[in-house]
Amino acid sequence: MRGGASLECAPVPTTDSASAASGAHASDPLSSDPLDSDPLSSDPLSSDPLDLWTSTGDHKRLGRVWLVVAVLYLLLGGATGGFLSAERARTGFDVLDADTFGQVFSLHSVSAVFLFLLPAWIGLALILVPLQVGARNIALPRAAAYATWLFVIGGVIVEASYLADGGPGGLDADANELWVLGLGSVLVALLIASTSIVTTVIAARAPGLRLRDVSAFSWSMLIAASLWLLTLPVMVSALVFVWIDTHFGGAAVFEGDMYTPIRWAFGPPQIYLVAIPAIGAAAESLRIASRSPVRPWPALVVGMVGFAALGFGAFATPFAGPDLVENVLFQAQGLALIAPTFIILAAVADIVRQRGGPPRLTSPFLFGAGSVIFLVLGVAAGMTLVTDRLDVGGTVWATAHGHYIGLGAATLGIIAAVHLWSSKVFGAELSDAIGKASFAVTSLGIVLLIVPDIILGADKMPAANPFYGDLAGAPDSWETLSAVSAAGGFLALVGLALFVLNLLSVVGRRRGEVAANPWDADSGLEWQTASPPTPENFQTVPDLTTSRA
Amino acid sequence: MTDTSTHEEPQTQAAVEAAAPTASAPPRRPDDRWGVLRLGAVVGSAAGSMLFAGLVAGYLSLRDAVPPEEWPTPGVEIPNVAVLTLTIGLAMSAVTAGWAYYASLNEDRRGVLSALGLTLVLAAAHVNGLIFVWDALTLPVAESTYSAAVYALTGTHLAFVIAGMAAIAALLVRALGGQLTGRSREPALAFLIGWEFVVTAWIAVYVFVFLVK
Repeated sequence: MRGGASLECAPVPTTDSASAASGAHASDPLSSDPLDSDPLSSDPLSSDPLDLWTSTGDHKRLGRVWLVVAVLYLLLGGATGGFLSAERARTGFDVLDADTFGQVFSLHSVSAVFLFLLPAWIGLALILVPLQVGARNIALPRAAAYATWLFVIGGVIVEASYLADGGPGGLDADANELWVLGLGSVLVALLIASTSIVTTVIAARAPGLRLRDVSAFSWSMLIAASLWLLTLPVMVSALVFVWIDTHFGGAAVFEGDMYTPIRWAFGPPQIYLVAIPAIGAAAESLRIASRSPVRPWPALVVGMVGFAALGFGAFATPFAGPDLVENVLFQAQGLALIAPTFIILAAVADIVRQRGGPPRLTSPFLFGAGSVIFLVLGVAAGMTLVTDRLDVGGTVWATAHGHYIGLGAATLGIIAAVHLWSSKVFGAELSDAIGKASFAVTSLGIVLLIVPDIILGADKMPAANPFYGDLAGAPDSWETLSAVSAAGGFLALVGLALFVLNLLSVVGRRRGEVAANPWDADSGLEWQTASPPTPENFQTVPDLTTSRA
Repeated sequence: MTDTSTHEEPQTQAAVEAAAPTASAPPRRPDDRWGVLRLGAVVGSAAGSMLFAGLVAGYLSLRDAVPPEEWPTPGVEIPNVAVLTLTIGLAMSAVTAGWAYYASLNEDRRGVLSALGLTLVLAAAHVNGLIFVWDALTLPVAESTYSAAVYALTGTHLAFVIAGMAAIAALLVRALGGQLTGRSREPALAFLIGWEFVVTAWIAVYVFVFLVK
């Protein structure tokens, strides 16, 4: 490939031959990438799987750790969400007191955003970005490895703190401190991994690969990770104040309130930053399914940059005061989001125009299309939220908005990406039939979860309140619609469980049966690698310099 | 985020890299791209800047929320001379860190060792000075909102200085092995970028906490 490589796909060695050449352990579905070139690599001859995984600096192994752990937290976040929905519906399921409800609510939010959404994108990016830019490994592999295990340990500490009666609403001071340290560790891990990803796209691209030719997913990760790097540190700074409160017992800053310092990450505009990679993943999914030769990256990139700039939410910290919704900048930012959203929508529509015949309704296509649709609906719901013309701030409208973006756009985007690149991520293809079933059930569940909340929000039903039935003047319809919403939540959970089952089904599957380019993609460097990629990714690093001459 | 960046690497590095290819080595990186470590240091410093921006914003916000007569906490005397001294000391370390990098450019191993050693000493002096200032303040952390804010900013910065000292120690080990000159000077440049950020962050902390108050 060197000297003549191009973005267009070329024949690649079969997985078997590539694995044999590299001495990979083909019998192990998730451990066939012993590193041989990285200073952090484990001993390739080691038969100890713990050693193979814990001492690796290989981007594919590290990414899988992020992804697998994130999926576990997806289940936890989904389960706690279902618990909250059931509690709210009051269908004879009324087990949480006010403090415990607050803890479960924050556990749901924290698990969803900081332990699932962001880590899942990081995991996918760690695996895919080096492949898409023609690099042998992620930039700063030691830092990426450190971040990986810091995330794993930090996540466990966060969950353990809840078990010990900590976290927002928790009554155990030591457990509360543990929660701060755990969440802080997770945020630092996300920042370090983001640094690796940004650096890889900018500085580790194959020779001749121009930034404008980088794939949509890598572009979206470059933009998203850059914004995470500019906003998550502000949350760390708030946690420093919380830690001083909890450790020294002064409660001088937030007066014991541990949720306010992080709440801004779950609402507009900051929540939009979790969905930016979904745009890239959806664009790639739709392009490949549509056999479209169009690469409208300029428009798409402009849209994503605008979306990211308007999703910058670091100014919305608790220090901004309680009247943020009356802030003109906050309102203008939320309204202006419609412009980049339309640009993204136009770019995506251009991709799926039937140039190569009707699009193949594959799982990645369906999840990608669903992700974009929910993103647009979420932006519309967010515009209403920030202008507050309907006075829906603090109601379950805000909950619906969070679900539109976090569950509808971002989670479906993650699933689209996993389906599309499963041959590179896991070395096996996910079942398309199960994928389609998962999409149908999940999407229906999300719609049923959100639509009642939109109606209830317009009716001023307060969010995060387990005792709404005790509120004076609460109409009867609240209970009925809450039950429908809860049923939708459970349905979405079933759909996500189908996705997880689909993932588990590939774990025991022997590798070596997957084509390097299973979707017949006409471009993209990742499709020029074997499935799964060999330890060094490319037999020779692609050099696109001459192909541009 | 564009392909057009500066040609900061002298011709010599490109020549060295081009002269020593191996069969398995990746193709040489185009000269107009930044090195990975250098870019990583810039990106990391940008994130760190946002951390301190958040801390300073929190400090100012808390100050606004407290009656003026309670900020600083009544009875607190800031040891201005000590604070200024440790600030000047840290600023000097920015110069010695630069000296370390330029010594590495000139293949001056002894200069690298001297400069890094001096930087380490100045950083240690800063840590010592800050602990002295904390002691002189006689202000328990949980005493007031003011005390929480002061320790949040200065304590966070102290963590960065200590991390920087660990980096200096690691670089010293590499320099002793002759690994910070010639082709391997990228770590020295990355450290310089990171250390300049640490020093600049302290200047911001000094201005807001000890000058503006």
